[in-house]
Amino acid sequence: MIKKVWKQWWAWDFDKEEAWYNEMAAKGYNLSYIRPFQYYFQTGTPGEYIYRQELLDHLPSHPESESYIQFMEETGAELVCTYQRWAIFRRKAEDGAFDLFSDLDSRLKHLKRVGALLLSLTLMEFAIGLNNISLSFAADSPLNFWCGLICLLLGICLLSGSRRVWKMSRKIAKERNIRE
Amino acid sequence: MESIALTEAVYYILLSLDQPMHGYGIMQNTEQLSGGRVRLAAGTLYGALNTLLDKGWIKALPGEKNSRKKEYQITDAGREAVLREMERLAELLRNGQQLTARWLKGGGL
Repeated sequence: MIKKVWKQWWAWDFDKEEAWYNEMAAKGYNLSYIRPFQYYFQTGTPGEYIYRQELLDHLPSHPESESYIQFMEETGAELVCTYQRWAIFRRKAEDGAFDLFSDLDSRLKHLKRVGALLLSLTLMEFAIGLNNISLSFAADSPLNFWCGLICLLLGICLLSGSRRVWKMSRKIAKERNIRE
Repeated sequence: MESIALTEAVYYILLSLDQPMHGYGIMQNTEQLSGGRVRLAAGTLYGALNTLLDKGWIKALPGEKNSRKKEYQITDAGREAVLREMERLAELLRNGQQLTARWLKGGGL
């Protein structure tokens, strides 16, 4: 049976989102695919899977991503689905602990990838927002003004989200000064 | 030559690749060698393998026809890196043992 859940997660809360997949899996709802704001779960045995979520370097169809996904599958992980550049993997809990990264370096590298995505989105929202607002004055168009304002607000949200990821990276970078 | 400390992951990957091995084999071998202490996660392993390939410390072997699984093996440059690392580790251990012997003798612990 498929269970659909409407939910929205911000990209900077990707670790909380992953924890939510695992909470659902513990209850016997195994994530199987994602559509905008919709998460589809297949009912199954509670606690059967451990889920992990990762932002890939490229889109899933890119040869480098394909080779990475193939490598993951060779090590016993299963690609559940992809959503934009995000890939969601799972492995049977009975096969033991399942993590994507086992040292600080690779964890930091992933966080930086998420940070770079957020920063580019932030800049884009600000650019579109400011452009629309200046246009609204030039063309006397209130629609452009409101569009621009929404973009700016989104940009501010993204900026504060980037800050969360930046703080997480800084904590790891500090830890790395004394250990691997 | 600049002395560099290898990460635990890299050190065990290089040791494992004395024999041709694919990714999952390296993960299992590392866990076994370290008595279950070091578990390489696949994402970390993938990144390390690519870096080691770029450095020329390991090479990818031409695969069998039916298998897309890639096997890797250590190169001479990789062997040198392991030997340098072992010298470094021996120095660390020697100095540590010399100094802590005093702690133990003094009954400080």
